[in-house]
Amino acid sequence: MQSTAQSDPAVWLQRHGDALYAFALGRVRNASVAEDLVQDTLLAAFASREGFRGEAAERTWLIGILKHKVIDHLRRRGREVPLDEQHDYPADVEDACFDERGHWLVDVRDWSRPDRVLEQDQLLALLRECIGALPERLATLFVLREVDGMESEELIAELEISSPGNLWVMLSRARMRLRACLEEKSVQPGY
Amino acid sequence: MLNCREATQLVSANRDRTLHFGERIGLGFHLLICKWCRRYARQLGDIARILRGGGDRLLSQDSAQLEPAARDRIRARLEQEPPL
Repeated sequence: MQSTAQSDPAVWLQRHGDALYAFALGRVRNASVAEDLVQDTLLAAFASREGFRGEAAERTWLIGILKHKVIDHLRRRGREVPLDEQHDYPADVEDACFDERGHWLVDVRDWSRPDRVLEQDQLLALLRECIGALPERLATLFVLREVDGMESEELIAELEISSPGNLWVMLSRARMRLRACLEEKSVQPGY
Repeated sequence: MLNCREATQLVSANRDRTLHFGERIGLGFHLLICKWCRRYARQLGDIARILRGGGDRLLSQDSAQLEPAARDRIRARLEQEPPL
């Protein structure tokens, strides 16, 4: 293909390939799907390069296209394998954290105590681990909501979630699991 | 009166939707008197803050790089596009 240096997909691939791949992988969890999404993104970007006048950074523009591709993929996958019923995600962590009257069974620690402060990078690494341990659908919804900042209405519409209540329950279960995982992995001696 | 399990569900829901008046009152009162649920709410806020601060880096891992073979495949596909 002929293209100017400024809009050469091969150059985009070289400069942004890894970043795009990491973004996709973090949301679809499948290496070959992530690859396909990167490819589709670069093709779509090339097709619409006239519309890009360099207002934003190149990578920001490409990530924007990739985000749509990721959502499209997740929507298609959700149609094949409906995964948004509350019974798909047992409340086992909640059952372990609360007694039959709904009172806390475990200690909820104060993360702001000086002896408990972890470095930002350590926390990120723990979060990455704990998000990785979530069931795929819960992880996806959590990342789209908390990292990408997608609003509930958007998520429900774009991912065709059958009822808003299901979304909120799934996010609640994701957060409860994450919190428990972080506490477990960040135990400080002498606490 | 909310129990803690119900309260934590509302703490979470509060991050995703507008609580209605009754929910707000119930949760507000519960948090006033329950330090564990207050901590839980703070923890969710801490998690969100960490993610906002490092979101890009969160999901970029050493292993998340395109393999050379994958790059070649993508490059080959890109070159199939018709010339301008």
